[in-house]
Amino acid sequence: METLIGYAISPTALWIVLAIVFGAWLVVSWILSYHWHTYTKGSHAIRRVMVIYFGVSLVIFITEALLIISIS
Amino acid sequence: MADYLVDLGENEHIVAEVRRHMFVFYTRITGVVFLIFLPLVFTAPIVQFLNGRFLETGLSAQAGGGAFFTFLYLLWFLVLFVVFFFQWTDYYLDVWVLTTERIFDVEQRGAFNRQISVFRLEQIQDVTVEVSGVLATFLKYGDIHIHTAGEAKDFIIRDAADPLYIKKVIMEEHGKVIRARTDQGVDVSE
Repeated sequence: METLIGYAISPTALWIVLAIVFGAWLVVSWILSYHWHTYTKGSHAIRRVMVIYFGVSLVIFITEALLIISIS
Repeated sequence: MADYLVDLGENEHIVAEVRRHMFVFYTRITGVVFLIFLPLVFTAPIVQFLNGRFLETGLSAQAGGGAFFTFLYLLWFLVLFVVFFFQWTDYYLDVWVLTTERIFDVEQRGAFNRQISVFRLEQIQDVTVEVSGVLATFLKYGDIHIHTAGEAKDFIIRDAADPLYIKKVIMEEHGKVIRARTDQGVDVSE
């Protein structure tokens, strides 16, 4: 059990988790972007939404990577 | 304007774009916002537990527990962040477009289901506004029931912002279309 917990909180496992989450995020972001581009192109509201969405997501992923490095 | 959403005819212009009142969206995302803040209530015990696990594995308790909790919380936040934007997209893509000739009912049902209904303004027989409840009264939102001629189902614009104004606009455009058709000698009695 301690070995399992030790592996689960190891940097390797965290990188794997982050990679899986990033992959899933890419898929759902593509779906959202498709809708935003196809049905709302030209909308000022959508431009602001896209900036917020991708900006915050980028900050989250960078922070996650830095956190894993700090745990390493 | 919503000219990217609907195909307009020659000389047809968009008069109004109607969406649900923002308060309706806020009530939908209340659960998401609650879940975003929920883990923060249990920060101390969770970090303490994680610090213990880090000690057991030989990793530093000082740097491990808090950082790991932050890592997990950011993942949790990201998931809810995406859910929030899916909810917002569903809200934003539900729209009723009033043009000088028709009304479009564009309804986004989930990520892969979209329904667009159209009817001509001259088919309108009557328009009823329903504002029900204390919040709806003060925030000025309600349902607009549009009864059309023939066997077509009634259109309902649900939780529309400023429904009385929208009704006024619909009736004005309806009147213009009827007058134009009458001037052209077209029978609009049906």
